[in-house]
Amino acid sequence: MLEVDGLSTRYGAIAALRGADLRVGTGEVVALIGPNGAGKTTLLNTIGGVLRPAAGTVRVNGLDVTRSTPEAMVRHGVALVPEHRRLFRDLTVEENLLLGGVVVKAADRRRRLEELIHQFPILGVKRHVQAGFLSGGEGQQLAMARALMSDPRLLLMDEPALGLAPVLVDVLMRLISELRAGGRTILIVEQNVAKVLEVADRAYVMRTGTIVEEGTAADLRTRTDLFAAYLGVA
Amino acid sequence: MRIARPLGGAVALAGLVLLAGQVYLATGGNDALLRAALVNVVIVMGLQTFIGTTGLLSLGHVGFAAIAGYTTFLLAASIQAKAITLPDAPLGLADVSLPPGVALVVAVAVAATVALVMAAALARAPDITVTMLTVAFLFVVHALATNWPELTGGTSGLNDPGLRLTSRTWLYVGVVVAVVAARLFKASRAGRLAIASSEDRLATSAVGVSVPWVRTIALVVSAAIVGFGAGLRVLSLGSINAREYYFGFTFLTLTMLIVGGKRSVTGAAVGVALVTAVNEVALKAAADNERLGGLPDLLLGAAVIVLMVARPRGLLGDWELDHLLPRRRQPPEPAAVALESAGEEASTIEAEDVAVAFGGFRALVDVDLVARSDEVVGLIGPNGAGKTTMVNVITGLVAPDAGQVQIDGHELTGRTPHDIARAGLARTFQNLRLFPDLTVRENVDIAVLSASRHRADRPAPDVDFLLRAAGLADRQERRAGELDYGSQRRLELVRAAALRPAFLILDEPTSGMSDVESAVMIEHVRATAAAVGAGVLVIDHDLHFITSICDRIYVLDQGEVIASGPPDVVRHDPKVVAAYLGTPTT
Amino acid sequence: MTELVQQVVDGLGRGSTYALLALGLAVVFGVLHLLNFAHGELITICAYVVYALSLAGVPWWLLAPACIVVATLSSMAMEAVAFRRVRNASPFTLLLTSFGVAILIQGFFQIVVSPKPRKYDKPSWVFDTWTIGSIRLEVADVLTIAVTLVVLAILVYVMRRTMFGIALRGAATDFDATRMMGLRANRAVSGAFALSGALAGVAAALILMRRGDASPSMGTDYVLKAIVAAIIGGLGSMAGAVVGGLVLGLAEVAFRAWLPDSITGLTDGFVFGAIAVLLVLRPNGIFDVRTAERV
Repeated sequence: MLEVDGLSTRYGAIAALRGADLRVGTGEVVALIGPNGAGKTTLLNTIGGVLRPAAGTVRVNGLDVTRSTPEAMVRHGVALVPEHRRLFRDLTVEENLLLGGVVVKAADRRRRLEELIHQFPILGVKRHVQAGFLSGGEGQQLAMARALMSDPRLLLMDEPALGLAPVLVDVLMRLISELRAGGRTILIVEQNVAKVLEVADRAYVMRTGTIVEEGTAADLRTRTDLFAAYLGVA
Repeated sequence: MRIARPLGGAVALAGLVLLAGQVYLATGGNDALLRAALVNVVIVMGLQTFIGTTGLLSLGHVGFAAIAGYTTFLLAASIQAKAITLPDAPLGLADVSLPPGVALVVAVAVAATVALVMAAALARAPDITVTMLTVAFLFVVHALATNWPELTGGTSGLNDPGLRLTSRTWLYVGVVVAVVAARLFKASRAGRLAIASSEDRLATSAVGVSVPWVRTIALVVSAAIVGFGAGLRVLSLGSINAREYYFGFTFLTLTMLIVGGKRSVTGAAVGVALVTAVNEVALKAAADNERLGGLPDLLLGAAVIVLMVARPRGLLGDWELDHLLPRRRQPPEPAAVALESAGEEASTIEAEDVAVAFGGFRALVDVDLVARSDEVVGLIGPNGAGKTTMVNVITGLVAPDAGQVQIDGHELTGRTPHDIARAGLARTFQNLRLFPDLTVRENVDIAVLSASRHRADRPAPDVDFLLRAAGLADRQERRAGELDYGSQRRLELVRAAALRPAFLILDEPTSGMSDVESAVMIEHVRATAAAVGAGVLVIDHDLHFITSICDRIYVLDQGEVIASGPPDVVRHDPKVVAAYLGTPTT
Repeated sequence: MTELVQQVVDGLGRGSTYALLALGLAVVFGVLHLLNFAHGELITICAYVVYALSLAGVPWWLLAPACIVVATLSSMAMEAVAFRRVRNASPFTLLLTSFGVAILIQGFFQIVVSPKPRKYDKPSWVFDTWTIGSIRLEVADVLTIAVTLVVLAILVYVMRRTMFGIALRGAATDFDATRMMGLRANRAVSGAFALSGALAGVAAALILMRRGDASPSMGTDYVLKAIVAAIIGGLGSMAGAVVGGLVLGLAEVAFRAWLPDSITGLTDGFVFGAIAVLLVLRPNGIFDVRTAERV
């Protein structure tokens, strides 16, 4: 599904990402973990077309999509749930969802909307509420549903648990499990290592702009020592 | 202020302008056009001192010109001329006739005073509002000028042929004065601080500079120069009319400024010459055809668009003629003397019950924090824990909903960021806020300028030593924006240290760095803090970094302090481990 | 009382055209953070089109839609030719570019037509008056207010109910996020300029039917009023633009009515002075749309 080779990205003078290689197979949930500033978000944003890589390639189902714009990536079937969610605060829940489906044919858009509201019932309740008034958990569900409106083949999620109370993190992880059960392919950046490894199939560990470890989630779960060392806690 | 070079450059530049004028005349040039161009040099110099330093777009400076122009005329015109044109002039102006020089001085003073009043309104406003206020100002002045015939002659204007200066000498003198004034202002303390504020307003406040105050000074100086130019214009023409002081003239002078480069005094002069030349060619082409009167506008409009697309910084950028002059080698500084911080009482920052909410999101919940200037205190926690918010509260960028912050018992809550910086809290920013177009040295000098006034009671650190320690000594003339990332981070730290702080407050100094770079940074933070005798409050997400540098650590999670104490205790605290690694679903 | 009603109608009539122009500025500002000084030139362009077509005998009921089409296309052309190339530049650069576009167009009309105003025949019926009881209303005012109400209703529908409108509102909140949804950046910006131009076209038709002449620099006054209206309301806020326009129109009429006859020429001076005071008190306008800067 997704093949990333030698991807490097710079912010001016900063080499934020140095030659990352990564694979995500169809139907897999893959986690990117590592300390803050390790380049996880940079990698995700570069795949999503938000940042332009200095070197390397990104392929989706064999098609070279390196240096595509974010809008083109959506048309290639890759949707991003960005860091901090980036909801359209002044727009209602329904309008946020419609905008998420801007690439979908008008006739299908309403149908997708109703399907997602069925899947995320709280969004139905708050349908006409402005997104700025949603609670953290509701906002996160809207961000996910909005990205799903374009029926992406690959969903990129950046720190979805950020700012959520622990109980809501559990809800979030359950939703991700459901998406996985539904056959959705997901690449997720998450700081909550223990939780994300419960829902992921595989994970890559990043540090200072490079991928330093990779393994199945089951393996990595038993090796908390590894990323504890990377994160600096004993 | 080292003024020899800018002064020399300005005199040379003014000399070149005069030379160009004489050459133009000698080759059969038109006297009226030359006079207009010389006056425009003065007025554009005035624009440069405000727009070029503060980076704010003013469309209202022609309003100052109009005020000074009318003042000059009203004071200097002969009583006979006024008896005809202004028999009903108020305030007994009909019976006044001062020498032109005196009238000019009064006119400059009036323009400067009006600018001072304007500054009160716009110094604090957002950039776009500043532009709008200047537009409103020009509108008001223009409306007054056209609708107050007793004072301004209304739409027919004022005329006194006897006022007209026959010699160009005064215009030449005016050019020299204006060019020197503009160049020296740019090199002055206020000018440099204004340029810093145009590069990054927040970083400028963070080094203890009051941006509104700097803007005020720039506006007053610039209005004075513009007023001086307008007075000369009136004396040169012997007449004034409101329609000459409106958007047409605004656009003409603004184009002159930006063609050469708004940041450059030399560029301003070059711009006047170029635009005048283009205008003259266009007008000559239009001489036989009334319609082609639009040619100058067409060309100016096209020139501005092309310039904004291709070279928004103008032809010369911020280059000055004096950059050609040899730089006098500074005498070797005396060997660095280690700062004597002994005997000085340690300062203490105390934050109590600080709470902040953004919308419904509770960013900080009753946070207590104490840091002393003889220790290194770490503030850590996962992404979104509220670390930066806490630092923003301490440095005055975010007002807390509850709680207070004090330094040595003095309240900091509610004070402006520049005030807090003056109290000895120097900070760096998570996403780096240097003055990218200024050189390495200039970046540090901005802080030195501020410290020499507001932190004068503390010993001045040896800036050369700090730059050497940061590995920047041989790159002092490079623009900060061209440095590699690690160097930029270290430069930001040197800039903060140059403020003679009691505390260095560092927001993620190693973010985006490799392990090797981080290790260098750790050393650099230690060395810098020791050199200036400051305490350190450092935010980081990286426990490695924090453990190797801090005496004490506070751990924030979801806006609350969940642990505090020495690094070795904190890193084994189960709550901290859970905050970092997450807990498996139960 | 009668006089007050007439004054209010007069003020709302003026304010309506300011509101339409300010709305156009707000739409573009929301998406690009460009305060478009060349917006007034759309009226100038329409004026010359009206002048040319009315010479050819085209009736007013065709001239009005022509204005909307011409202004829409001209606005899109300005974007494609000039603003697209400075899209990510600083506000200073954007503002000056629009100033350049404005002056360029003014120079163009001076050369191609004439520096002097060109007169065309105004439709006489717009100056008829209707009398309701003791209140006399001018057709032009009533028509302006009515058309503006209809346009506002259509605009509300477009912004609330169509994908185009939702996308524009989304782009005004977070332009980059709309791109992550798959919205094409060029289309969004071009669409914003088209809408902005269409609104200016309506305003132009309403202004031109009672103005009667076209001159190269006529756009400046209108754009300044519109900018002031947009800023009073809080730049980028559409509701604010409407309120700002109406406040400005009413303020003008009020000052004209209350100022002694000898200084009615100072109306603009007083209005702008009052607005300067407002801006000092509320630097971000009535509807504050400021967003916090992340540090």
